Amino acid sequence: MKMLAKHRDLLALYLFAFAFFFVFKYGPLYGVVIAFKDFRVIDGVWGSAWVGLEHFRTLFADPNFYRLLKNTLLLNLYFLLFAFPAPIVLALLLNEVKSRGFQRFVQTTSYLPHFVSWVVMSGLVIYFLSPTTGIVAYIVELFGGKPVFYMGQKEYFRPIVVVSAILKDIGWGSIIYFAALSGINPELQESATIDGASRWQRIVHINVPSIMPTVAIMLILSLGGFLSANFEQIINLLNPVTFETGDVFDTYVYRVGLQQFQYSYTAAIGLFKSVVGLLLILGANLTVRKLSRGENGLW
Amino acid sequence: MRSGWSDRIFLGLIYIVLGALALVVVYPFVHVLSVSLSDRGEALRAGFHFYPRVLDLEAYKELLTYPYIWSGYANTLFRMAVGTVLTLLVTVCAAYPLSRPEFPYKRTLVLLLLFTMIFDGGIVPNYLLMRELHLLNTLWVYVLPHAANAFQVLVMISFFRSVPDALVEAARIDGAKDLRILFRIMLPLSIPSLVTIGLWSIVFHINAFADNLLYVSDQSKFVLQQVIRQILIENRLDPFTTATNVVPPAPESVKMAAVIVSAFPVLALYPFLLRYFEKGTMIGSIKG
Repeated sequence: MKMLAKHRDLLALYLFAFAFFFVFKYGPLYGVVIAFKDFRVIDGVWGSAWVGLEHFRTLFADPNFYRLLKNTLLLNLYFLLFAFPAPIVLALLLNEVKSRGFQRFVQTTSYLPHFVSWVVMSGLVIYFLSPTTGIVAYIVELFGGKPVFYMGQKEYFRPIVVVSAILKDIGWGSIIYFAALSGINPELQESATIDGASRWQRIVHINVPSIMPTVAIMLILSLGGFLSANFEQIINLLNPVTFETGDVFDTYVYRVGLQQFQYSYTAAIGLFKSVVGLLLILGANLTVRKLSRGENGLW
Repeated sequence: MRSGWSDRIFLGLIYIVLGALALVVVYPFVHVLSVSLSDRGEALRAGFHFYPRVLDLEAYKELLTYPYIWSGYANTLFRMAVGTVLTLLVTVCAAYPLSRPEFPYKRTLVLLLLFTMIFDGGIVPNYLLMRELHLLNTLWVYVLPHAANAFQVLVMISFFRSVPDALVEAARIDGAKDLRILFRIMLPLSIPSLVTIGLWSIVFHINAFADNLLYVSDQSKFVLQQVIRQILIENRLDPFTTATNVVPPAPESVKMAAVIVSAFPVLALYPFLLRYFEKGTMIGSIKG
């Protein structure tokens, strides 16, 4: 207590800032209880009656739930397999380029889409994939193919989401790996070259292992937003035809929860999603620690 | 060199792949700009558009007569300015005490912030909170929740820690108190990092629309991105297509003009963004 009194200015600053965290980050946690209640707006969060696990029982019996679970997990799995490694590959390639000018040019242009909103990015995706004026249809026709209405085809939805996400953030994501690569001791490269290692061998045996700790940390960090990261993108690309393959937890909660006022039921879906996400982060951290014998990992 | 040839082919392939990537990223922006400036016939032509063959500003004229574009700009400007100032204020207030080695219970207090990065309540509980706080359909809902950002606090802490301790000690010997040290020494030395975090916040606020979608239904309080979303994605062009036009601009032109109008602030800031963002991201992610 004496310690705190001595630092009361610092404490006041911290408390001022923490008030925002308390209200806006801890505050919603109290709303989570409505997943166990039959929430009615007039009764408020505490006044509504408890119903226990009823919403979860309905949830696990709802065929929609399995569609959402499958879509969410599959989309995130594709992100992990394709969108996560893409910036790493870009950084490895950029690192091989000797011309500084070309390197800067590729970097500067590849960052650009990161700064554009998902509204604009999705709008452009829809526009460029349009069967009439779209550039993709034009190219397909040029090569004698028959263009289709890509956005209205449920089997195209996931590839479109993943590819557009890669395009948007590949350049931006590569910065951190590029920095890690430039930190590699050049003597390592030189001695490998003298020993007759080819460019490819140097990448595989020197560059890739050197950036693994960075990769591990980025992997765990990206799992933090796992299952909820793509709301802004998907809500813009989704249309009723693609609900079957593209509807994820968050878009469903938005549509059914907020627009059709099913607060309690969709809060239960949200809670389920958060718990799964949390388990995934904990699991990933544990795995990374095990694989690196306790050297990597966030905690 | 034994493998000289295969190395050279490999390098050549790398150049081709990277060149193709740059092209794929740059071309859409050229296309958008040229369609937005084209007349009706040209805008509706399928194929590549590198420059407007028939220059026509009708699309911009039409778009800029739409009143919600202007209120959208004003609301976005509000959230950019107020949101960024507030974010910086909260970030500095949280980070400074946590960066001081003598501050007690630091570990616990940092963990309290870190926890918010891992667990969030979800869409419905957040909506209910905004409701109870009477923030629905107000401009404050755009700025207040985003002031609390644990990641930015972590970055700021590592910036503050990079200020040499000797400076702080010297000031303390001269009789300066914590707040004086913050304002006279820490903040002036941290201007580059304040700019970095400020720019993060500005870009976030320019592009944000999810909170608008969830919490605001009053069209006059819509942010620019949400207005653009209605035009670009929901195809709501009709409320303002002027019947007085003999040849109305192609909807495609108006949409592309909307893209340019909404991306303009970012494109104008781009040179500054690059300089500070690269540096800031690296410092933030490596040390933080």
